[in-house]
Amino acid sequence: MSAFTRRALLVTAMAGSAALALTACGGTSTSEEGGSTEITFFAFQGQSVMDPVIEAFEEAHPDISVVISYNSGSGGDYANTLQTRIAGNQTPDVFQIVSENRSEILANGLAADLTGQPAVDSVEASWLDLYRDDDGVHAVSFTAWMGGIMYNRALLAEAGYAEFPETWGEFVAMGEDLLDAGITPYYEEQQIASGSLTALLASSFAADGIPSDEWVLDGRPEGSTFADSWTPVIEEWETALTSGVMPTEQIGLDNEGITAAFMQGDVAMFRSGNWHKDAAEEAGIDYGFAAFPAYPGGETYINGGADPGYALAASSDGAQRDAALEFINYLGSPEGVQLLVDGQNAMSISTEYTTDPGDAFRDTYENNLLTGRKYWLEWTAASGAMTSTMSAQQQLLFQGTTTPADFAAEMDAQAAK
Amino acid sequence: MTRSAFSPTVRRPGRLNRSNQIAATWFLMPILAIFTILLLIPLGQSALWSFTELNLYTGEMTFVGVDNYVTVFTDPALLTGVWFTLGFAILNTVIVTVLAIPLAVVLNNAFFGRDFSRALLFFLGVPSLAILGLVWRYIFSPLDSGVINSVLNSVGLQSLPWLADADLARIAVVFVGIWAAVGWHITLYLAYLQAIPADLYEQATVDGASPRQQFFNVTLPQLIPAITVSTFLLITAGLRVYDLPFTLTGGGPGYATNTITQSIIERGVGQSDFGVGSALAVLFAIATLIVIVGQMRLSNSVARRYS
Repeated sequence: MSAFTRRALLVTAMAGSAALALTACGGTSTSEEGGSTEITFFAFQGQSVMDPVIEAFEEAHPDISVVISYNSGSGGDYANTLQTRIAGNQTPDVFQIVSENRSEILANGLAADLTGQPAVDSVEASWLDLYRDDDGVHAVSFTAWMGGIMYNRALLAEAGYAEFPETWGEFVAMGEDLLDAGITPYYEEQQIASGSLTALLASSFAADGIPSDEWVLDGRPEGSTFADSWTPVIEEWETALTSGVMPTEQIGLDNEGITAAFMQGDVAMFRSGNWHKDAAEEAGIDYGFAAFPAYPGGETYINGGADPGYALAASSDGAQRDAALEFINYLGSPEGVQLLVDGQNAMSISTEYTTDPGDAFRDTYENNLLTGRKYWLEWTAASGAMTSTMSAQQQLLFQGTTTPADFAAEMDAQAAK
Repeated sequence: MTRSAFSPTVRRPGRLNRSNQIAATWFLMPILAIFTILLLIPLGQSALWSFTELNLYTGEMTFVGVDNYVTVFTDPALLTGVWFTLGFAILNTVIVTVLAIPLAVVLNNAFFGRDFSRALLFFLGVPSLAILGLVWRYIFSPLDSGVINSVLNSVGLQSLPWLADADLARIAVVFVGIWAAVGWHITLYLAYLQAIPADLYEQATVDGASPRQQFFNVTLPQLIPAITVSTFLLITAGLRVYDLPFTLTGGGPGYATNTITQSIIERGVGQSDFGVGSALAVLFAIATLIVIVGQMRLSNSVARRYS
């Protein structure tokens, strides 16, 4: 072997060693100092919400340390990341079930049964229906969210309105009066399932006397098609689009843009929720909050439901499993729920801790959230595809390139795949 | 006459002796390993998955034949993505090339503020496309408070629904794509322009060639290698565009600015439809290969024509 070849091999070997060393650096565990049992937790909520919770838990349980990773985006992003971790045998001991992965997690038996745990017993049973199957309860939530319409009282007053309308027809009429007064009436994000259309669907099904357990999943009454059950509701919803009450420009806006428009007084109403309470108060707006107006002959509904539920990985065992259960039960304790509520302005659904929703939200909290007049679309299969199809069809309807009947037909076609 | 032991060894240029050949092979090993691990294995895996229905939660795989390919060719959302991607890649390549060459020629001349102008144009494309998409989302906001609409309103024109209209949204994506790419390609052409021998221009001047004739008969032929490199980079970047439309329009309104890579990610990862996502990825790889081979052949034939 020549000197040149030997040098080349040496350089290659050194480069390889350096690459291996760098790879090893990249894979270094981020585990924290502390307890003897270490559990992993992939949180849907951000660092500002979960850090105080973890700190308090570790202080109360010095023998357990929690290695937490955070979600950096939407529910879809969370579901994708969790799916990748599960596929790579990196399932966290504790994770959360969101709309986008609920059906897959339950169908594939990835979450352990939590029946009988104190945390589960602290929440009224109906809140856990989404996480229940024949094998038991697979996740538990301690807080809930509610979405409705936040409105600027001063702008509504300019159009002569002191009270928020109860029906969709009255809402459209008020919007037209706002337009006449030179005020943009209503924005909502169209990159996700429409909040107002979702509420209108629930209001319509309830008005037809169909029990909620027959339509709470998959967005339509059992045995019916989207064409049958959605078309008249989309036609009703479309009146707000064609009249300009929901202007077309909103399909080019994201949630931040819409929120900023409301806080600056550029739009009278927008789809919002308890998560915007602080922002509205900081902006100094005299605001009100209302449920979405009702379908003709129906009652008002809000968007809402339990926040993403905490689940124990079915693959977790031994000391990790015991520690993970301890952690979930801590989250359901009065101290845990209080920290979760405070961190995200959420509504407690735990019997261990009660919340005051504040004046603006009290009516919808008591008359919608607690009475069950709340709805959010949950799909039993292909959640991402169904939501994506619905969002795209909403945008096409705004542009006038589809009809309510074709919108519903596309939903049927997607569901059949 | 026989060659003595002391006569100089005659070596054919470009050939390595045996030990150097072994060394070269060892040097190539890391890159071959990286190429195999990062490209060939995933591509082979995608080809396999494209004939299956895969549940990544459990690892279960069901063979479904060509069903996923049928879905790709019949799904209007996916087809819209294919057409928009092709349109974006072609328009981006043509317009950037048409803008970059004359601008590079101008910037190759001496004038006050030349260095500043060069830096300014180059820095247009320094931020990532995702960042540019977010910034331009605000500029193209369809609200009256959007930057462009504010300008339109200030001169008495009505606001336009930029990102809320399918055609305007497509125009916006293509415009920002050009904005981001043109500066970098000007720099590329400048480097090649500075390598053109000055005596070619002196000779052309002596022969009485006008500036226009010098551009078409001296500058442009000398830039053929640069055009080959530039268009190759533009067409490949255009075909795999993802971050810009994702942050600027989210693929909307409707499916108007959906791209192939966005569809691959959304169908494959977002919707857990790995079979369709993989089929789309395999078709995309084949189509990209065909487009690039075609583009390279065209460039080579043009280069031969002017050499």
